[in-house]
Amino acid sequence: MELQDLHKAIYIACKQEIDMEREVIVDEAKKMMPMFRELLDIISNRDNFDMTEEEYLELHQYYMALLQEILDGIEHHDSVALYDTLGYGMLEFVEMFLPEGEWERL
Amino acid sequence: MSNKIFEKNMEAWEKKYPGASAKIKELEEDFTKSSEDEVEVFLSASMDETPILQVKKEDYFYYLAGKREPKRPAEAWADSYKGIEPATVMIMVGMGNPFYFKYACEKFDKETSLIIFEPSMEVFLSVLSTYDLTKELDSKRTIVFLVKGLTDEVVEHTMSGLIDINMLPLLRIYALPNYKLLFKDNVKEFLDIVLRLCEDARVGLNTNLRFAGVNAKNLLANARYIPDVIKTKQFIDYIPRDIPAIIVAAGPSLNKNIKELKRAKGKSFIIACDTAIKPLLKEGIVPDMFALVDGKKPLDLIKIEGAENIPLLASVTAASAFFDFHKGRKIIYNEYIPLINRLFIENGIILESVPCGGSVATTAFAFAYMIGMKTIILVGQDLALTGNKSHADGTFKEKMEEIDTTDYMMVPGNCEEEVPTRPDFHLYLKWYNYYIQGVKDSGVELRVINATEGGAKIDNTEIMTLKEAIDETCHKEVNIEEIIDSMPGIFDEEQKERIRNNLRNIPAEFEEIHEVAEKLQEEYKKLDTICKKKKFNQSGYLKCLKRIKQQTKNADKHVECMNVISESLKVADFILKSEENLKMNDDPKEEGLSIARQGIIYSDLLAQCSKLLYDYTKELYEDKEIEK
Repeated sequence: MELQDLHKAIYIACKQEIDMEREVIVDEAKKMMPMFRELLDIISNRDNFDMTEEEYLELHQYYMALLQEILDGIEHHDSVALYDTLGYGMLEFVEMFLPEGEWERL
Repeated sequence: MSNKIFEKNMEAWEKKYPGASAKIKELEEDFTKSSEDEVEVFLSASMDETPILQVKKEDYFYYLAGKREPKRPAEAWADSYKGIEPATVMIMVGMGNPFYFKYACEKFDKETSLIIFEPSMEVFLSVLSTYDLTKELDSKRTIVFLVKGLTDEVVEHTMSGLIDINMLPLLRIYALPNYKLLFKDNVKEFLDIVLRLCEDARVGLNTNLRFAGVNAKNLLANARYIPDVIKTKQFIDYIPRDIPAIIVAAGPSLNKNIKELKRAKGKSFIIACDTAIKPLLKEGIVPDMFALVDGKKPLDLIKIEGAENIPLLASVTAASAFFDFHKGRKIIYNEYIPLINRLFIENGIILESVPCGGSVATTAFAFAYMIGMKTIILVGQDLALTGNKSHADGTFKEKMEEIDTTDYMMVPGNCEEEVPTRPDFHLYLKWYNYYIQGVKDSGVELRVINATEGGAKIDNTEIMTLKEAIDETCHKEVNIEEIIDSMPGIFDEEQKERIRNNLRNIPAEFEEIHEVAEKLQEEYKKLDTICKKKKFNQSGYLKCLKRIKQQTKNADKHVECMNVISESLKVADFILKSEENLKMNDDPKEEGLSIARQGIIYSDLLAQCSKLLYDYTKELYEDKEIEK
């Protein structure tokens, strides 16, 4: 999976939800689940990260918290929480691993 | 819940809506005592310490605004409306994230109106206690708040005042995220009202455009019969309630059970729709009344020997040729036509309305309900193309042609699982469903039997054959003809003469409007010249506008006749109004040119129309004797 693809998927879903008033965020989040799982595999492999143990744990925990919020949001069809988590949590998390200028901010 | 923010908001509220804050304060006090009936709203804070609201539902806490960024989605949403027409009316469902409202106020054009519907009283009160809205309330923008539990009685009235044909293209609706989920029933109820009003406006536009010129001609001609009409409300005191009213429409299923109606004659109040009159009379069944609303109904469809003496429930804009042919009693209702209402008001008489629903059958149904009938039987009310036919044989043709309904919309049927229908029939079906449900909800006793024996299923009706319905309900002998004959007229001789004099004065009013129109045209041409000159003469421009205003006032003195003209010029009026809404000029020269261009067209149409109506009414009211 390319992280750019995940970023693009989140960005488009958020744009559609608010700017285009299309109420798609719950369905789009469901479609993104395989990508989140793939990202979880990457995050869970300690060797992928050149950082201190403390920094790595923080990163891992933050991603797990984001995932939990997304799962809760999907379960309860909570589009406010999903938009907030995807658009301002997950999107910014993914951006940390992308080279500057290769993504558009919401 | 009261606090400083709430008090400040109430102060601003009172300034914007004088007299309205007391009710909110009162509800707010009561609310604290009985909040267990509402959803639970919790105050929380976002990561940047902005207050945000949460609603608890089934042990899950839903955010109304995001905990990371409560404001940014609202700002992005408001930005997405950059460049919309200034006259837009934005209907926002929900204010639980008030930043949507705040950014709308900040970013939308100042001419854009905001209608805020909040389906939860607790959310509404929480917002007022948490967020300072004084800046938004202090603005001159048109803002209407509709709150479930606070403004329930006025929601429909308010929305109907806002939604008309001219603003349909300018209407926007947005439900804040999570609102459709959390307050599903209240949001649906509100959106249903909006949707229905939009549909009504669309039907109104189509009908009005179709009938524009004809309506004016018909109503001016039919006004001659006003001195001798009777009104719908009089029937309440005369028609017995222990007999059924039978509404006979001309749907294709009428052919199945028309003969059965003979047994109901003299034991019920039979009201026929216009198109059903021919097949009924051919079968030897004389209805007790028949209804006519269509201004363009071909006379051949209803002009049949025997029809001229049957009491007629009619719109005053119905075909005037039939009014002339008809010799029996005429029953009219208030259609909010100023010229007709003037004739009643000057005699101190109120004319009641009937919610007509768009068709002759729905008008007859509403009439039967309004005069207090407890049982209404529907016959020939297919609202569908039963057997692929639009109407009963013997109406438009002796044998109606079959239509290919392959692509038609299907709806549940009375006898068949599904039947094909067309958009106008479907609208009337929805009207019945809505109207009967409304009667049911209001607790009024009303039994509606659908004895059509075919066609579309109408909610809240009992389906039975006409034979069964007659056996069960038609027991008491009654002579409706005698009853209606015995009903007194509305006006005494003095009042009748006053009406005739009023009508005789109408040509002079049109003549005066014609003179005003010619003066107006001169002024608009002067305005055009001023605005085309290189050097803009502002003082001349303003003086010219002042004179135009004065001439317009002179025309408006004849408000009832101006209304007739405005109805006749509906198409032109519609085009001009649509243009007005879309164009806003800051440059007075450009604006002046636009005013002049529209004014020249309009005053020319006004002059032509007032001249035509002058000639027409002069012949109607002066040269010939007004009906006595």
